[in-house]
Amino acid sequence: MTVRQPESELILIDRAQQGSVDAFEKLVFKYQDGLYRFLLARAHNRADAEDALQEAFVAAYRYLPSYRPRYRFSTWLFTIAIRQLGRLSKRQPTPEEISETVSCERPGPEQLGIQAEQEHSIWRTARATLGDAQFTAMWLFYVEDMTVAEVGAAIKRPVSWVKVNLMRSRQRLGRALQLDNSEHSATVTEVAL
Amino acid sequence: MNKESLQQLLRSAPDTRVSVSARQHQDIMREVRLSNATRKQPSTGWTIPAWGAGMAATAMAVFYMAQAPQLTPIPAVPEKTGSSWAALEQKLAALPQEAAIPETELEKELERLKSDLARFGIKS
Repeated sequence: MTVRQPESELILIDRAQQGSVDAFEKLVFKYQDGLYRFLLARAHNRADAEDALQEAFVAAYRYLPSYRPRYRFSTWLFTIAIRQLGRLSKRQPTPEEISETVSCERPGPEQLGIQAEQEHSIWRTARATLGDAQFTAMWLFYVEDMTVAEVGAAIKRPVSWVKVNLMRSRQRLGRALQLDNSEHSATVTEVAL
Repeated sequence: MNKESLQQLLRSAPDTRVSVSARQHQDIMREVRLSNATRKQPSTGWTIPAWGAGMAATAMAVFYMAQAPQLTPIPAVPEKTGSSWAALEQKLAALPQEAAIPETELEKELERLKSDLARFGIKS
């Protein structure tokens, strides 16, 4: 079984499978931003996201000869990245990462501005509301435009689980957003008074 | 918030300003190039099914069994032990009587060792 995948991409994959680093670099250019955004949203800190991104591409290059177009290349790549992130999050944080986390707890004026802008971001709420697997399923489905089967393959869950959890996550997120909005409007009213 | 507006929001929300820097990209590609040596070799694209491997193993086993030397079959009726004992007794009786008895030789060796020890002043 093959999947919808642009021919140019299949050529690049084929060349990279033969060992062309240049062809693989073109694939990295194509997917690096999307993968980085996902990892930043999913990881507990920026360092983990950056490490997972690098290790995912290295692992993808190393195991590229075993890739078969049963699923899209992006599905395969995200599966590797999720595994790398899982492996990184199991290790103990280094002292630098702890200090980074501590410093993040007291943001400066610039960070406060960015934070305020992002506070009502739907994906930030989703990250705070949903579990790892549910968040990943939602991101892959809505942002990466994967099918339910592809999401299931990427997170190693059956299609039925993906369908049910997409629906439940949407409901939970909808409730959380309404709560967020009501809290936000209450704060605005208090300030006005 | 209805389902459609939520879905619309989910599809449009991710911050597209976030991107991988040139330095990060260079780091990735440097690691990729370094990993080139340890890269898994391309596979041939075909695989052997389990039943095929099983058949090959059976064929090899049959072939080697046919090549193996034939073993002497065990006699169905065991020999009488009485006759074996008698034959052994006769063989022992035929051994030359003048052959050195091992115990005597050992005693002589022990005596030689004792005298050597005494010569060097070592008490046994």
